[in-house]
Amino acid sequence: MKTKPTSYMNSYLAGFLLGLVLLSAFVVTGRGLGASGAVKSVVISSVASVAPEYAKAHPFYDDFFNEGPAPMKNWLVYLTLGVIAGSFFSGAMSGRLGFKVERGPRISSTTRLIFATLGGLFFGLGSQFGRGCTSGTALTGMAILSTAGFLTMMAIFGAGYVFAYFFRKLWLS
Amino acid sequence: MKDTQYKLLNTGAFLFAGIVFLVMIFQYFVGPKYKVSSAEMLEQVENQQRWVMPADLLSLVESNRLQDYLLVDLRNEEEYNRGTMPGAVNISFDKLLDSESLKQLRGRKDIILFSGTESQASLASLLLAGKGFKNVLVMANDFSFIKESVLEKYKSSNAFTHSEKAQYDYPRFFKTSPIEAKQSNASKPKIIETKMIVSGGC
Amino acid sequence: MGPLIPQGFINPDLNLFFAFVIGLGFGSVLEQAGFSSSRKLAGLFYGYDFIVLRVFFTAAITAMTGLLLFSYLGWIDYSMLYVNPTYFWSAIVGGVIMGLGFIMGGFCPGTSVVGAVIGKIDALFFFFGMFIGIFLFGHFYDSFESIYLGHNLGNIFVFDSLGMSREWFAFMLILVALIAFLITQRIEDIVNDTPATVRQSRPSHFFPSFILIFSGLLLLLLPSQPRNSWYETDAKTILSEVANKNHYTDADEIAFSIMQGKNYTVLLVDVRDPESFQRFTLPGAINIPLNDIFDYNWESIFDNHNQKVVLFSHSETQASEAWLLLRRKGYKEMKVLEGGLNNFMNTIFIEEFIPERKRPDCIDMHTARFRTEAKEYFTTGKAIKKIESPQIPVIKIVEIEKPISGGC
Repeated sequence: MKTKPTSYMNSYLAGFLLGLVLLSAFVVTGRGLGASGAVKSVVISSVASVAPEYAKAHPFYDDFFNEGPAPMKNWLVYLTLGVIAGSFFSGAMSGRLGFKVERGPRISSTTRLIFATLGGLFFGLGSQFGRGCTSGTALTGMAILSTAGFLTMMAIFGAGYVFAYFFRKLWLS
Repeated sequence: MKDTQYKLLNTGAFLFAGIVFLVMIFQYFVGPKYKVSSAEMLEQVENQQRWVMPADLLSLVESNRLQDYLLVDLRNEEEYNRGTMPGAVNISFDKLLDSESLKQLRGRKDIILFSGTESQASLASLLLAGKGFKNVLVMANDFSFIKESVLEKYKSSNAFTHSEKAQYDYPRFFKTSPIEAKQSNASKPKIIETKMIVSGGC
Repeated sequence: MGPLIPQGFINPDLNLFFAFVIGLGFGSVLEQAGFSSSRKLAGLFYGYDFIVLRVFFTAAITAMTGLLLFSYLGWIDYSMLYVNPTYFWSAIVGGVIMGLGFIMGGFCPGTSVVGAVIGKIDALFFFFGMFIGIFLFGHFYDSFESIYLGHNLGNIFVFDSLGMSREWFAFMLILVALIAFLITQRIEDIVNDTPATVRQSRPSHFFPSFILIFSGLLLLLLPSQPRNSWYETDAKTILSEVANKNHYTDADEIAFSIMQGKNYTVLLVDVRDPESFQRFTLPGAINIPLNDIFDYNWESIFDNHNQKVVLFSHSETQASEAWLLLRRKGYKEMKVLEGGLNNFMNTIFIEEFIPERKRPDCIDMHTARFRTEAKEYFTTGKAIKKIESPQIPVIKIVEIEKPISGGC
């Protein structure tokens, strides 16, 4: 049974709802949202269990060996599990499930996948410097009015606009 | 489709804001009305300027400036009638926040409170601060001490005395065995275990 | 009142459950908004689709306004919220690298998860790219450390950095966001060459914008004091409690509870300065100096309904002042040791107990016997004086941790 995917939500309504989700995160737990923290937890715990010698030599993995809750039993990991479940249900409800490589009209799927990986690489690297990604630092930081949130937000989008010219082939027709 | 979503956004925003504003109005009427915040009240507590020490009191008496102040005796009427400071008016503590009492105090910027206990006078000054009174002064020590040791027979050793001072060398009552004392120097024990004592019935 | 978990209103064990529930909401909203599509996301940078800006800004100002309103209402304690620390250059360098990643990959971490879940293969690649990126960061951590940990400005707020008041900044931000929505809509129309019929049939967002501006104005214009007053205790209630001496507990009761040892349900709180506390305090007492009484660390202690908190000082003045401040804040299980330490020593060790009645009855006999026992108990060293060595900070019975690892 193939249904036509329903169109996306009004972006202001989506923003309002996202704001309420963020607000409830603050009211319940006193902190905001985040996504890259979960990836960091996964990296730390998998690297440290596969190659403990390597991990011990690098201070980045100290958290894993320190006392305290295990990295995987982390708030953000559970949040991301929730995101996975939530987006799956939402995609299923709106009939948007299905494998697909989304790309600009002028590039091949392979190019798209290479750049997606590279983009992820830079985003992962940058999120460590920024202590969080767009949702963790920029969005949450703006909601709580932290200086870091605004700095990171301006840096992300400022850099995005600067680099946009060089990568226009990826996206524009 | 877009239209229903737009309505949803309107309704959502309206509900959210409406609830917040209603609660705001509700809380405005329900909540107790203090003119100063808790933090400002704490500043008031820390402000040492509000105390009238025995030395200050004496200098006021000697320079005849005591009558410039509104002296308020917070004890009950019976105690007040038995004897009070010259010129003091009686507002017993339990009637402090009655409208008549407040009317009596309103507009006066030079109030000095005293009472049977120092703590009661201090609490009264804080409650008045909560009602928006500024610079309410509190007489240190309880009235009987003020009467005996300041007004009747002033001792210069009492110049800065107040109730909130150790009267005894406390450690001498609580025996500490030498071994235990050394251990506690090692900073380990936090809370002391004590033996149960059988409290005898009658 | 809030945040609920750090304040102890919700069992911290449920923390992870709530993380999942909030994640459900987060994920479905992102998916519904169309954040699973990299082309929509990248549209922000080429002007054909400003969905990111709209959703992002709307969410940020909704949450910000909500937080400020909730804080005004006393539903949430702004000081207990996690404010991500500002490491100046690290934030900017990180932002620039993330910007590069954004334009190349077309996703950000949260959206890539959403995209990967509903089957976008490019999102999946982006997601694994992140693993490599984070691994690389870990590998070269030594060389990055100086940037990463340098220029720490602490957990600062942007309005402080700009020297504005919080409410003014919030109001300006709301206006900036609304103006940005108008301008980007115009740009989007020009770039996409939207037909005039579509432009005109678009619903106006006047009403929600109006509510936002109104909230911002309200926050700006409302008197800053008194805030959070609804759960406070009324002055008259406090007055009558003091007048009826309901706030006192007497020396005998305290002596008894100390002698009961661990089993007592009374927490003794010494409100004197730390030096006096170190010189002497009652067995088992903790030190919360009067000027530190509103520190958030103590909230769980005062809020614990299973134990009565007894405040004491040399006499009862400071303890009563502390009591009044806490009582005003709405705490209930609070008492003051009548007459303070001076009276305690006086009652237990110095005064002979003389019954008021000529023929002592059962209660008097009991009191007399109890005082003798207590005196012996304390003077023979069964209750050991607690000494805090200067290096050891005053114990905090329950430490509520602010969330340390915030962000993403």
